[in-house]
Amino acid sequence: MSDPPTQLSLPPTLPYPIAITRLLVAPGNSVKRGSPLLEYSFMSKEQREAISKRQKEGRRADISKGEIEGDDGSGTWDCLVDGEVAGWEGWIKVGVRIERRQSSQPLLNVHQPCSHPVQLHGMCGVCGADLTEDDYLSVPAQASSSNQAGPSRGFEVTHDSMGVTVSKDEAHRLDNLTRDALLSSRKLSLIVDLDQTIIHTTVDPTVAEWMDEIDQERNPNTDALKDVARFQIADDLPPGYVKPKIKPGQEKMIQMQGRWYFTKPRPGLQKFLDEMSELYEMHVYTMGTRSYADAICNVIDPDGKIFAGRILSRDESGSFSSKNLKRLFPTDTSMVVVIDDRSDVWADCPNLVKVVPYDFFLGIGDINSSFLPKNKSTPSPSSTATSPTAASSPASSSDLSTPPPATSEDVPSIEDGLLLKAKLLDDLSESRPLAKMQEKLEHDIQPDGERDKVDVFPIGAKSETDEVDGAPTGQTAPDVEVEQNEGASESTLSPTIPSTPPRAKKPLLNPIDYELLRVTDILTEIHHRFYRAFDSLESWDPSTSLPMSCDVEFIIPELKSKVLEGCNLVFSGLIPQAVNPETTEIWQNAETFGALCSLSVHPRITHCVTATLNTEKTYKSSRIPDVKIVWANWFWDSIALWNRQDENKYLAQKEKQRSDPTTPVLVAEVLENTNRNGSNGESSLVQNVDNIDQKEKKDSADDGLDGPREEEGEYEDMDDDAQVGKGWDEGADAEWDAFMAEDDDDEGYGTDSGSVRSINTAPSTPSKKRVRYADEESLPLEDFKDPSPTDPDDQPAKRRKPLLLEAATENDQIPAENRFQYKDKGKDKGQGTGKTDDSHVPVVTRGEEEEKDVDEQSVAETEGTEGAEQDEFAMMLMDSLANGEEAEGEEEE
Amino acid sequence: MFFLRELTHTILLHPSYFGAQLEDYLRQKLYEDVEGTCSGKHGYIISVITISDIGEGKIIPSTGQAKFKTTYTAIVMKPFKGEVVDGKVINVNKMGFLAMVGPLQVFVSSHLTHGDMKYDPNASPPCYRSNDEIIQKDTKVRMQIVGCRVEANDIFAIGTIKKDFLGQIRED
Repeated sequence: MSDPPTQLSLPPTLPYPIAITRLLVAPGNSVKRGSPLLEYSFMSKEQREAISKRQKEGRRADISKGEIEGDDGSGTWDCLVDGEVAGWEGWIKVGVRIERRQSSQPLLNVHQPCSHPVQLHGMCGVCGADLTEDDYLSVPAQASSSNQAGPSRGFEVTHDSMGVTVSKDEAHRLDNLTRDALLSSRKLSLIVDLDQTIIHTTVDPTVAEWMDEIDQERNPNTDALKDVARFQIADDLPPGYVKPKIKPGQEKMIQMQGRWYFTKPRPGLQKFLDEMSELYEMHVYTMGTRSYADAICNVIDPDGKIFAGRILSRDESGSFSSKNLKRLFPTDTSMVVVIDDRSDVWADCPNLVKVVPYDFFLGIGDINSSFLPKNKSTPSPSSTATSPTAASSPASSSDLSTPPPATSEDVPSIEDGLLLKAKLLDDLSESRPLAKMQEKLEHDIQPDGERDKVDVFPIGAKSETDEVDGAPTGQTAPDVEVEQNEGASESTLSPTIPSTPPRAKKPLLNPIDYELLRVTDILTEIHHRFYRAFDSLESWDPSTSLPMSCDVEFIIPELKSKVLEGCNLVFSGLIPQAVNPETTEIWQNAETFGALCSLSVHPRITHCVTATLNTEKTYKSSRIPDVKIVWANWFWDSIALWNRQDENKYLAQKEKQRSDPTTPVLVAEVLENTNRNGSNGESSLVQNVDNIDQKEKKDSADDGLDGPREEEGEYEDMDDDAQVGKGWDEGADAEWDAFMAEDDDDEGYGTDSGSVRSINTAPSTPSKKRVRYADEESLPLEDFKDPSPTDPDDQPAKRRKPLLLEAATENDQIPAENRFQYKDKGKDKGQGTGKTDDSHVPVVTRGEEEEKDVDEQSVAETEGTEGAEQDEFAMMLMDSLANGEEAEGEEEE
Repeated sequence: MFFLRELTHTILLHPSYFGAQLEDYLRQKLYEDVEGTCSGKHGYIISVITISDIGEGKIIPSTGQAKFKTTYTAIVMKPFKGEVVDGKVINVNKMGFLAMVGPLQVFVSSHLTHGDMKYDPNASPPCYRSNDEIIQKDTKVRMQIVGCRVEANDIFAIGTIKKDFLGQIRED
């Protein structure tokens, strides 16, 4: 056999230290598994104690009492393999003492007739020998990691489980082969996750119905659904499980042949795959079943050119709850990059490039995640940071999703998981979250009628600003119209639904997503760096492993650490007091991304990352010049996008520097209000900062314009039509001060008049007065917030509520078709969303404050269009009076 | 290798099947039960040739089911070490390739291919390539079985093509 001799070393379980007393085999001897190789002596615990005891007493061993010096035990070391002894290592001689730390060093070389490099179901793939014999020499499965030469279960290295495993040496050899092949084609390996990373899949039958409508152009989601693929897979049920009776309505979808799946490729996927397959050898590693993975790959890679069968699914992965690189690359992971939307399943894998989850079918999440522990990973970036309509914020998806029942803390057993998954899928196809959402969407629109067009601004929080303004300006109207034309019954999720992501202003399903472009850049950069380092290698022996400079496991962390390099962060309100800050995720993330973290504020810090304002740390930080006080989202966005975001977009206390102490309160209050407004609080919060600090926004929208950013800039420009931010200047400050100076009891009187004034102003002119509404518009949101005891700031907000009563007047540039519905609404909708529609806002939104605000309400209702209701009431009164008179008259008669 | 073997199979029949069609049903049940199965002892049962004795049904007292001990003759396939078989490749990977010989899976490790045969991962589909041979999915190969592992309900075999006249079978 041409194989190099196998090196044998002592097992770590021997009673070290041991002294070799006899060598039992010599070169040329043939050995069998189990035959003794050497004898050794060792010292038992009792002997050791006895010796130390005697040493204390200062006497020598008394042979007459059976006491001896030195070792008192002996043993043999038995051979693990069959073969012919090639020779002992040079340092092995009789009398040599071997310490525990030396145990891993090779002692003996044995020529094996077959080293059993490959196993098939426990049978050697080369010689056919049975390797599953279990005897006293068998190494426990886990402990076989040392360089024990005996047969072990070995590694699975193929994507599909055929029961073939390889030994460590063989795995190493194969990895080297792979590496050489990759190096010669100048590629790296890329492991791609499927669900929510490059595609999004649902089983909601609503999608089928919508897709059927594509040709007829009836569905608002037509554009988004065009490239959705569908396929059918039978449910993966544990054997013996009988499916509960199928409900009548479902039969169509779930039949013997399986369940329909609908898959939306992430925008730009084809380009991504094509480009990446030039630079990477592509693998799929998914938590879906084999049939699912195959079906998906059939969709995204019909020719099989990109993945070429390199698909690893849950069926072969060996674990239902985690992914492990060692499964595919047992010994060498230096050329492997992973992209996945979840970092928790990969543990602390340095090869991972986390992507923002793709959440196309709202509220479905990852249909294959029922085995995974609940996703506790970091918040994904706010939508402003990625793209105007990127992945929804985590809050929104978790709010919306029928949370998979299995996502409890403990990972369910496999069988439970399968059942749970089947149940989850049943629930999903039954509950049809998409249909419900779309229904809700349309329901929210219809009562409000076309008035809602005003709402059709791309970003949710802002539309309200505009609305209170009562002034869809001439510029916005056309945009609105365009959108309306795209889908016949154009739909917007009203911001009333707390969980609505910002993109709600679009058809329910939004196809826009730029994550893959960003990932492409990162992956290209990694590839570039790797091969730049590789090319600069002077002399590299291909038989050794690559140096550290050519190791993705170092390149990726290095790239990451550049992101926040030079930042010295202090966190405020983000780390619970009870835990050790260094162990928290945010802290570790920060350090991974190159930032320094500090426990307290000191002059060297550069950023104060805060969750709330007016903490001690933010105050202290504000005293230090050049310290930027930013919302936590700045941090999350930066690390999610691997790009230090412009702090100006996230400044938490911009106002403080330039005006009196009351102004920050205002800002904080606005932010807090919006923040509480359901899921997209984070993003709307950022937007609000933008509103107030409009110039900043301009800057940020302009700098660093790559593809997605451009889009964002446009969206924000559209919002600018609202003219909200522009007005906030010294004049507004002054007015605000004046307002704050007013007597508190004088509720809203002055502001009311203010609003009247502003409404009479032509909306297209940036008015200083209007600025106030930028703040006030957020007030209706208070209805959705939890009353928070720790929020003293919302008092003024309540007082200013009456401002909401304003309806558009003749002077406002509302498109003609938007106007007529005020009366309708007032009548046929006494309750409802309560915020899209200002005519009934006073009635609905104010709820508990109604009594208090009766005065203002009446004030408001005397103005504008509210008269209709009063008239009605008056007529009823007159009617009843008239009837009464009639009755009286009759009685008299 | 294929054999004709006399085998027995026990069928339990629910009382609801007792009737004129009973014998037909028993035959059908026998075919369904045994054809295509694998036992470590006999190998793969390819096809039932004749049913020599359908057995007399004995009612099991507690359940009322009838127990028929059927004897039949079937073609069975059992691989042996050293046997040369023809198969069709179903999977190629860096460790070797897997071929189907009828119902039997035979794995040929890359160690047991000709020395000049190299794995080519970049080909689509991936293949083993030497100067005159290409082994990829759906290639027909001739292998010699090196070893078999027989489990209760399964048989695995290791093959080699590292000998003369083994390897790709050309169809011409």
